Amino acid sequence: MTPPQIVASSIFIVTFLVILSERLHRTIAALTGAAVMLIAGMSLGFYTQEKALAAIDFNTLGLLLGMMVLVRMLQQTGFFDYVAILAAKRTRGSPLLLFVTLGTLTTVLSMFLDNVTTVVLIAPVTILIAELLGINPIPMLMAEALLSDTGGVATLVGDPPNVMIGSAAGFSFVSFLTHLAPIALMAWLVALVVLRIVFHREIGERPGNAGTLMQLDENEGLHDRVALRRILIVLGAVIILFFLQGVLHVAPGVIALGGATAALLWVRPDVEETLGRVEWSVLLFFGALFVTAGGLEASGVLGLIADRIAGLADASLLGASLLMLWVAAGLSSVVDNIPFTIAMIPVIERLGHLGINPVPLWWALALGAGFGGNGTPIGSTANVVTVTLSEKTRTPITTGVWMRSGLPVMLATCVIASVMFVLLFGWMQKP
Amino acid sequence: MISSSMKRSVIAVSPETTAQEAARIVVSHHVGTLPVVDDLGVLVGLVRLDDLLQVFMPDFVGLLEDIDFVHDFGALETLQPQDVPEAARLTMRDLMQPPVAVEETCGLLRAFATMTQHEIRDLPVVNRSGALVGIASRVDIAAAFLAPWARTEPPT
Repeated sequence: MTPPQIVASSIFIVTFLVILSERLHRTIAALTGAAVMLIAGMSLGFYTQEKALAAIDFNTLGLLLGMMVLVRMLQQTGFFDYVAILAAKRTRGSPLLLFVTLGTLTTVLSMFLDNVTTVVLIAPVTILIAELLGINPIPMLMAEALLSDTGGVATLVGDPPNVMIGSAAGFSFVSFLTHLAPIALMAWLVALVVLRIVFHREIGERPGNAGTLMQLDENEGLHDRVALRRILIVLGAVIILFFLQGVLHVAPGVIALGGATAALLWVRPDVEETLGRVEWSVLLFFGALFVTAGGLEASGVLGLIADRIAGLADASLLGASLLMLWVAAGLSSVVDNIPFTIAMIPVIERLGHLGINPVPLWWALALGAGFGGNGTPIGSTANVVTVTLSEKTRTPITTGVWMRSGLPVMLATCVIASVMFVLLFGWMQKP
Repeated sequence: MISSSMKRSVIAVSPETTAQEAARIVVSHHVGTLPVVDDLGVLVGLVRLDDLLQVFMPDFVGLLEDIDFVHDFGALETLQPQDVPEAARLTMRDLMQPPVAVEETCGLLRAFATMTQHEIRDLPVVNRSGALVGIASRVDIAAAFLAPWARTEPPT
């Protein structure tokens, strides 16, 4: 390795470790990493301002921002309370049905919304329902945290690694659905079965009076029906455009930002409040990581890694893909899956230039990054949020609870993903 | 000035006072705020009814932005304080909020604004050395402020 490569790797690894240690807010850590990388790169001559700016994937940021605005607007109408209560009332208070229904609702929502948003919206209503029925909320909360991650794997917009992979690889929304949704569906089933076994005692509890659940009036949860209808129409149009993306040749980021603009124009919410609820720190974190990883790429380190992997991928593309899946899963279970994804993207791109079919590696990365996060309470932001919310209740989710429920789910879903990957390998080689 | 509209006999508690003892004081004196003072009479915290009742509140109340659609708390309403064993172990030190107080010379509007800002219903009054000398409720302060107006003839 050349001196610039050593410097660039050290900066990236230190940034990664600081994010892992949680000693510093991850956004500040990533911004610092980006700044140090740029300064080092400009002084040593391996990185420039132009390259740093070009390293930022604005399609990814635009897609995330557009979806965040739409979801925040939807949240303000009370839509999520409405849906959760409507679904819960259908179960008539059965803990098993509640567990399956709320878990499935989370899966479906997180296919289109980001995972954190999904759990932030569903978990409080879940705690309400559990308290009214006098049952333990932990099985439902765990199902929501875990299934938001597995559901997110199914679509291009489901979670940030998919957005980034789709943007870098040029995969369409339909392509994600046809390749990853079947695996996400199996993961949903496997996760429910594993949790059902782990929490058999809690789920077997006899609930109190179901009448208190039935008296909840979901209609009163809705604050603004006119706005709700308009936002749902816009969201529906956005999803249809995602499906037509291959025909229209419009980038997903443009579709999402266009949808957000249309919704703002049509609904005219309090702009300061709506935009204030957007997670700017997340967007800034991603942007800074792009710049940091861009320096790593510019120094040639990622090329070296790609050259190493190239031999393996040449010998066995399936083996390299499975390795990618499990390494991504292992790392994602202990640290935010974004830094690894952002660093792997240029590596896989380079493998493509070296004449290796990168397509299965992209899918493997998406699966590993998506399912791996379930392994520990800090594996994904959705997990952290769920644990934090549960700590405000009388039944906190401890690390012990997570290790006997989340970790088995993570391992089981990665195994099932690997098996399906092997069985469908011919299909996985096509975009 | 606040000193002319406050109550001078204040029922204060110490950081070691138990939650149950605090409950007895609330029940027998019908007060809504318990100032917590140390051995020297210096105000060290405030326990509001909200802090005391929070122990028994369902978790979802603090987590949901809107509870209008919950018409009935169901079985949670039948909960008795004695059914919550951890409540018996709590003292004022666990429940108290940082102290909010004004000095005796504080004006009425400033006193009322201080209360609104800190979301308290009763405002402790301290002397220069921080010792508790009185307490004024929202009604005490508002009535003292509005009194001159109430005595004035309306303009014809």
